[in-house]
Amino acid sequence: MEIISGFVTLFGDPLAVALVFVAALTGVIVGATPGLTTAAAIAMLVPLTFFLEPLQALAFLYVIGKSGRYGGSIAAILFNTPGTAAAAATSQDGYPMRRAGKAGKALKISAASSVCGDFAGDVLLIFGAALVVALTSGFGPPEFFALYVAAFVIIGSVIGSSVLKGLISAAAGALVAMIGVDTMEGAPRLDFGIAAFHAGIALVPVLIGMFVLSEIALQLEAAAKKVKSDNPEIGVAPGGDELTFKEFLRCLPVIVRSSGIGVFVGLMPGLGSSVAAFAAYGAEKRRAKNSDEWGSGAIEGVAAPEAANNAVNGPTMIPMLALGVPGGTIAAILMGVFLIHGITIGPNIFETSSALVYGLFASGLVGMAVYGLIGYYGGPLIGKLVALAPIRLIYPYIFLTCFVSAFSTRASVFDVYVMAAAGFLGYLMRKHGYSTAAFIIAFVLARGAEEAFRQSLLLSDAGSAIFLNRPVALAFFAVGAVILGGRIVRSRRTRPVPAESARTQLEN
Amino acid sequence: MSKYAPLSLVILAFVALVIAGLSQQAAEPEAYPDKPIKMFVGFAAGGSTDLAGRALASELQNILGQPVPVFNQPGAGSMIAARKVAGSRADGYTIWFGSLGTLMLKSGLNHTSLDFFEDFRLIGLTGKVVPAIGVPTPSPYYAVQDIIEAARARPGELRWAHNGMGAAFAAMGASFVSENDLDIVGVPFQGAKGVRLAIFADQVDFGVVSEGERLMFGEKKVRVLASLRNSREGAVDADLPTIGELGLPFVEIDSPVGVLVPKDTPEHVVARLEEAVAQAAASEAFRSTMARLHIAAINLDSEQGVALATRLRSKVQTLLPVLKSRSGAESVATGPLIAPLAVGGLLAILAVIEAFAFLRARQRGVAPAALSDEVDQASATRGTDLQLMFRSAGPLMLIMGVYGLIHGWFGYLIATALCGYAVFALFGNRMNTALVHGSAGAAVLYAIFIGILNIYDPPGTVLDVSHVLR
Repeated sequence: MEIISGFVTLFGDPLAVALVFVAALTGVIVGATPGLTTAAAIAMLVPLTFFLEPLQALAFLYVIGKSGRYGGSIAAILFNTPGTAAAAATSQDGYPMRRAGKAGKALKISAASSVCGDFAGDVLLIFGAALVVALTSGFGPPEFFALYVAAFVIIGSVIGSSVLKGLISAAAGALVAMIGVDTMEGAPRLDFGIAAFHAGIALVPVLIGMFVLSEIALQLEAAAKKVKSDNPEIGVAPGGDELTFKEFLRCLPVIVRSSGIGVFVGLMPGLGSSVAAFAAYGAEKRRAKNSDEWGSGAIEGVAAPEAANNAVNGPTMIPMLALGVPGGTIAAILMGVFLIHGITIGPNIFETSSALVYGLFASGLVGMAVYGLIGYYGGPLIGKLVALAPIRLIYPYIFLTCFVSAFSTRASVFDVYVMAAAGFLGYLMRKHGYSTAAFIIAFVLARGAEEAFRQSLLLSDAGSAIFLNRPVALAFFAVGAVILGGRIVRSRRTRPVPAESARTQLEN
Repeated sequence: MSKYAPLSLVILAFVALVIAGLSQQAAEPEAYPDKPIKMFVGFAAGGSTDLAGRALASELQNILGQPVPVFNQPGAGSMIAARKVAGSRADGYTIWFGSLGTLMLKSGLNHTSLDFFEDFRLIGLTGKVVPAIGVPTPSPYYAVQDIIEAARARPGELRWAHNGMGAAFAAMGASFVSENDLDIVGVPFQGAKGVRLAIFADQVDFGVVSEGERLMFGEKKVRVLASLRNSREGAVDADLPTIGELGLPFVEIDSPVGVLVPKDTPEHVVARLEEAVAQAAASEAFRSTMARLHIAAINLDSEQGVALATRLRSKVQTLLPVLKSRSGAESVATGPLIAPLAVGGLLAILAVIEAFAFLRARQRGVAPAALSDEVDQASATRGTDLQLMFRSAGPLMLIMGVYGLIHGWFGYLIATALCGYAVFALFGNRMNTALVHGSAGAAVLYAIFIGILNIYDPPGTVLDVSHVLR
């Protein structure tokens, strides 16, 4: 049982354990702050972890990711201002519960279902990741290229509401990643004659610009418009602060099924927690006997999306660890952290860094227990705390911290300019319905895809036919084509898309 | 307290800082080192060069009494980091850790305009990474001779993995291939790690790995046949035959790694650094770390190092024709431009379709699709007018750009205070609030990031107050 040795590794490092506790609290607060997304917070904290040991750094960021997903439900329930689309599902019943004076009950079932869902996801991660690695250890460049293409297509077409805009976002991210010296031959590309571009565009500044600066700009607009979320005090109904065991038992089957949905969704690259939360909410609502109560304060309506939302955590790590293809934004950031600390991701990770990986899994389990307890007993308090902090003071501080986060990676002012440019681009993209998440994931994957393609052709005696001779590669291409096709067909049913788009996309 | 109290306090503080900064600039020269020394490594973290550099940095830190943070700036076979160091202020606070062989090869191939003898001063050499020929475990080759026979029997069919032309490892592999008149296709992978994965996954016939590869990963993953060197003296893996012993022709380019500083670094700084590097390289801690990493530790001072570099240069000259002819052989499909062209073309096509769809939708009067991206739901209601942009994203990103600029002029503290005022004001805070939070925020952030976390704070080019603050 490697996971036990993982606990030994983790508890052998007191600082790492302390950081897990700090991370659990930080994540809950970040998640509960309306408008501050967990991915953004992690992106900003990445440079601060350069000075830590790999396990400390990864455990810290990983647990923030987990508890941040849970923290979103606090804002959704208490203020009806979900920071993420996933939490929007929670607020459909969570906020009505709060209005009925059952805020405490809602927060408690949310914490309990989050931990259950998260646990289910981590069980799959702990026992499934090594299995996936065993299957993929023989992958060569052609298989990897096919996998990358499938990931591009799936992420681009699934992540937003518009297939076309998602694919454009992904292609733009890939193009930006090409800037700089080509890693295989050392030839400069897309450098516009500026030497600073030779080193390429680093992930951290782009990430912070796209996620954090663009958010600050949007919050600035909201502040300028004087949009204030009113926060009337609502009394507590009798028993509204307690979660009875009977209620929990009633929710348990819902939690188990929703965790299953979340785990499955998490395995698909790019789908993410919002899809899981709404899928679980919809499925459970259809199944429920009291479906007329859903939407006006059904306790199961909080349990379902929260369990699914957090069950996504573990499985998104599997393709990242086993193949180097992150399943979501947070996994993409963590992948960068692995690389920064010199840990090779991919088929060999369980041999080269087994202690670290299982230590990380152990930190995830500890972290979920901690945030569960914080949420269960301290949820209302954290909600009050967050409500106290005024936006017009919080965001300038975040803005000032962004500078350090971008600068410190390479001690480069150029990276600060890159961040500002990425912030502006991210702002425009979000204003017009393009996906910054697809951009970032494609940005992370593009160089690997390029190398895999060129290596495949060099390895091949038959040119690009090498992709057709490898069954695994062919299967990945097929998966990508089927999902893209499905998405296009569905979006054509709901709104007219020119016929050309379908054809061009399928050719790619 | 009057309404203008915060303002006058802030002005007072600035005047004090400016005076202090100016007075300190006159005082010269201070003891070296009195602030952190940045070590730039041109390869990604976790590679052998990076690990050897980090092992040295942690010892230097103990000896010099100042932090020696390592910055990884991979790209162009470590030449981007080299250029950064060569172009930095020659004060001994920016040092390059890298492979001498790679630097020579890169300038010989005209991949960089940098020249070891003209742009750098050698401080000391501390390690030697020796390449070897490794094959996948299922491979039918059990000796180097087997590979040579197979390549002769099937010209053009074998594949070998290297870590990019211009890297010392790849150059030695290429010399082995060409000196033995073999027709084998080279496939570049990203660094030593990429080569390793290609061999583990049985994708190539052989690859150039480091001589310690078998010791690190074991026989089940990789079979190392011979090291690309002449004698076994000082070898990490003493059981490994060498190509020289086998009597096969090749050009031995040592790949010693060590510390370089810009050419015009003052003598007293160079002397102190040389002493520290030699002491670190001789230390037990460094040697045991290097042994754990399976990298041969050496300890050559600047004189011995320069002599080695001179020998190295003449060997590189003999290899250049081979390397130049090989790097020109790539086709467009495998060249560096295929990916940007393909992705750019795809993006253009998608953009045209999107524009077309947008126009059609507007003609029909169909409302644009609702936004449902994970973070974007709230933004849909905020309007899309240009005016908003000029009041939010525009000034915000401008402040960030200016922040970067004046950070170079005045250092972190003053830049953060000034930009802090602007941002707090932009968010609609009153002047006094902006001044208080800007000043106090700058001080707190300075204490956290520069004081506690030791993030590099470059001395201001216009006004340097870093001496006052430390």
